[in-house]
Amino acid sequence: MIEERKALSVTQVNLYVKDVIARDDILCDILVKGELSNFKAHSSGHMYMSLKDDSGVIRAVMFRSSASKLNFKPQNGTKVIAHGRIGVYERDGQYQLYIDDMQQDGQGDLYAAFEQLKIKLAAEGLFDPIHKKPLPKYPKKVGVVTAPTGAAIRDIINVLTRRFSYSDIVLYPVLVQGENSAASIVEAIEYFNKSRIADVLIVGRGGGSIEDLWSFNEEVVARAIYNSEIPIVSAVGHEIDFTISDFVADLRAPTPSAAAELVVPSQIELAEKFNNVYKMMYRQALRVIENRRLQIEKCKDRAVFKNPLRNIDSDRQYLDNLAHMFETACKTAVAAKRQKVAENAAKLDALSPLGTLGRGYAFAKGSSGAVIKSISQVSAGDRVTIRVSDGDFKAEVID
Amino acid sequence: MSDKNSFEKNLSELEQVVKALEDNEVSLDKMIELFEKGVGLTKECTNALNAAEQKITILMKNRDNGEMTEQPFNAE
Repeated sequence: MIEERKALSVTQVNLYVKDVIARDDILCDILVKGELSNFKAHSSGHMYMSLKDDSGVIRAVMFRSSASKLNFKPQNGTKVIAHGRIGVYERDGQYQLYIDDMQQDGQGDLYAAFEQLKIKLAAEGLFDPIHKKPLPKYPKKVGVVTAPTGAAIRDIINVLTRRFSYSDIVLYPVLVQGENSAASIVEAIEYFNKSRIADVLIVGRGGGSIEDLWSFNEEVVARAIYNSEIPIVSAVGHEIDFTISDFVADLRAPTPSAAAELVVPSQIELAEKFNNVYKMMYRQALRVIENRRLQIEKCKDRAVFKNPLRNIDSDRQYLDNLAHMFETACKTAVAAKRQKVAENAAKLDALSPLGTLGRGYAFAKGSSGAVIKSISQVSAGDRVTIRVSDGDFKAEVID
Repeated sequence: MSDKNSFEKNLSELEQVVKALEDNEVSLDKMIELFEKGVGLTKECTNALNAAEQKITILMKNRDNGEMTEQPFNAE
């Protein structure tokens, strides 16, 4: 039977087990609670250790990239909660925990509380991007909620002073760790919202252990930040520290200095911008003038401006033509009239009594000058005038 | 706070002026008017920045009536 089946090599078995484990959803994202033992920090920066409880032990490794971010010094006996995945180390045929994050399992299970609150508030929508308010571009006054001593306030003031002297700064001093710190942070945020003396708030503190930063993981602080109508930038601890406040705030800054950089513009860049705007306006003004000049050039090229007399010339010619036509018309009309007069004169001539006289006829006029047309107009002895073609003479009526 | 309004107002006005200037069809008279306005606004903004005297204060609670007052603060 043994001979009939194909035997796997040890390596093949280990690889197979590794593959099975790697495909398990629970094992690839797991939180493990235990006590450190056999702890060894290698010179390479990797950390090798075991996690144990009353009845069992599991080997664990934390590589340098994750180990360097730890905010506590692990040692044998430290109770921890580690996050990571279970994997197989083929060489030894051993499964182990590959840790990527680890917290001290100190007072009241802080890490678990953090995770629980985070899940609860996320479900309520407190982290939703839709609630994030935009920061004012040029705040006249920046409100700071942090301790009055320490690096955080100094860093914030340094950056704000250097970067944008236009913004005033007002500090509301609070406790940033310890029993009453959460209440004091809430009071400060509420004061700013009531008084409205600042346009934007920086809420935070410098680096510390998870216990030191804990007030920024408190639900009351998270809700005060959420309820603030003034935009809030959170700035808690170092780059690697994430608190609930960071998730609720309108913007998370990795450090207090970074928060200061985020809330105000750079004065130097702004001055540069004004300078550019000025140059741009100047160029644009020149461009508008140049455009107008080109339009004028175009107009100048048009015929009416090139030879302004051309139209007048043609008009004049037209006028001349008209005058000529008028004159001709007048002449023709006069000639026609003249012709008609001549014709009428000839007709008149034909009808004239003088023409009849020319043919030997005569007529007589009485002493009154009236033409005698009837014998009743004369009596014997009357003197009459006889008109012939070339003159007249006197005659006496005999009978 | 009215100060803040003037700075922001000037800036947004300046942005509008620049926008209007970008229209190549703007009349010459209007262009000159915009240009002068823009130059004035740029100057005002720059002056506002240069003249700003940053005040740094700390809020102190009055022990008697609990009211908060601003007092000069020196972080050093």
